[in-house]
Amino acid sequence: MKIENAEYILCGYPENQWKQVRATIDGEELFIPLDENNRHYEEILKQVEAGTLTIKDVE
Amino acid sequence: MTRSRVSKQNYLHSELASVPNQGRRNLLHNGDFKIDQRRQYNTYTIVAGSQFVADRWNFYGDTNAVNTFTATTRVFGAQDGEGDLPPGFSKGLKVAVTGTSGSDIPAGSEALFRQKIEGFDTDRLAYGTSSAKDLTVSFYVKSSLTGNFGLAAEYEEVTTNQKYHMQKSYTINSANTWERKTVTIPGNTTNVPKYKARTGVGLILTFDWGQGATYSSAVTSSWQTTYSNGLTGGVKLLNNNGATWYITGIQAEAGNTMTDFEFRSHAEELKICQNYFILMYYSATAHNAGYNNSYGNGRVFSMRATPTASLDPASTKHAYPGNVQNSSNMVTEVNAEGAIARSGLGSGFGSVRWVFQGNSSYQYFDARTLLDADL
Repeated sequence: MKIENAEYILCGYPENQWKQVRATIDGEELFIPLDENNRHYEEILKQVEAGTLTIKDVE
Repeated sequence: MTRSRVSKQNYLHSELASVPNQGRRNLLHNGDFKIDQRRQYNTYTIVAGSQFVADRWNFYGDTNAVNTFTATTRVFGAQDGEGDLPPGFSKGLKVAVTGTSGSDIPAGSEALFRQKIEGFDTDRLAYGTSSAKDLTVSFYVKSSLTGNFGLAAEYEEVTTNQKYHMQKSYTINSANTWERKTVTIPGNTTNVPKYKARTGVGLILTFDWGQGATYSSAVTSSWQTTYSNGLTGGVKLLNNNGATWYITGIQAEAGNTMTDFEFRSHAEELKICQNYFILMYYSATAHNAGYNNSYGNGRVFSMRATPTASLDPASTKHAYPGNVQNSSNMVTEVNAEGAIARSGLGSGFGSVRWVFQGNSSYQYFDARTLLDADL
């Protein structure tokens, strides 16, 4: 997967209760939950561990 | 009118034991391609990377492989005037190779078609025990090409994460003619699967569309640790400009007996596929409850894992009033506080909503939304 522009964003009602990742993967903007059973998040973790991807933290 | 009668009312256990298990035996989903939320029965042009060409069915090709060919896929059927299908089938997958660069897919590249079967569903094979069962794969195939093609199985072992591979082949004898093929994959009595009784990949069934030589091997009769999902010397579909390949009725069942394809109702197959992928039209009122954002109401789902949410790239997201379109502040989020958020247990629940961040004035959203929890 080609992962670009990965950033954590806050979400949840009423406000900002948990994080998810917003990223462009293979050209499409996706909103990815922090669930290791999710294949996109699994790949993000692999690329972060390999040092080929960094996720911009919440400002 | 006469009614037929059961000629025998008492059966010996040994007689019943010889009857193949006829219920819910296909480990694969959407084997007859009746469901295509992914591509909506439209022609799809293959690109580099991993992509679903129909519900549950995935193509993977690396960049160097995909640079050597152009090809399309499409779930076709009688409704398209393409009614040439095996009896009883209404849909199938068509692959058309529309161009080649003049060079074959490189040795170190991959191009394959596959379905990843969930661990829950492969438990019945009892891999890693003395009772491990064979897996019989059957399917209808038609191609402009003839010869030996590759089909392989792969799974991951629990303690070492070692991947085990079994390479098989099938032969297309006559060009442009539907043939039913069967391949039996021996059980593995030694190596326990990683995802036993869990979600995660229990087994991958792979059709070789263009695996390079490095990732190909001869047919094997035992499980191998060397990575290979292609057939050495086999026909590599995607290297052949103008070639076509059609398939339907793919079934994988425990045991070494091929049985008739297990037809499921359209509604049942759709429900199964929606455990992995949902295309929904999200249309909901929004509120702000005194906060900075506008929150759309949640839409409830149940899926294999917490899904990735996104806007259908073929559509536009709207916020009202004002009909603001495709604002980067309009994001989607999944709330999964049930089982799927906690573990690999699967079969949990959650909800998805759209939110307009930093603006509390919106009252209504609509957006075609994709939820993807496939393996």
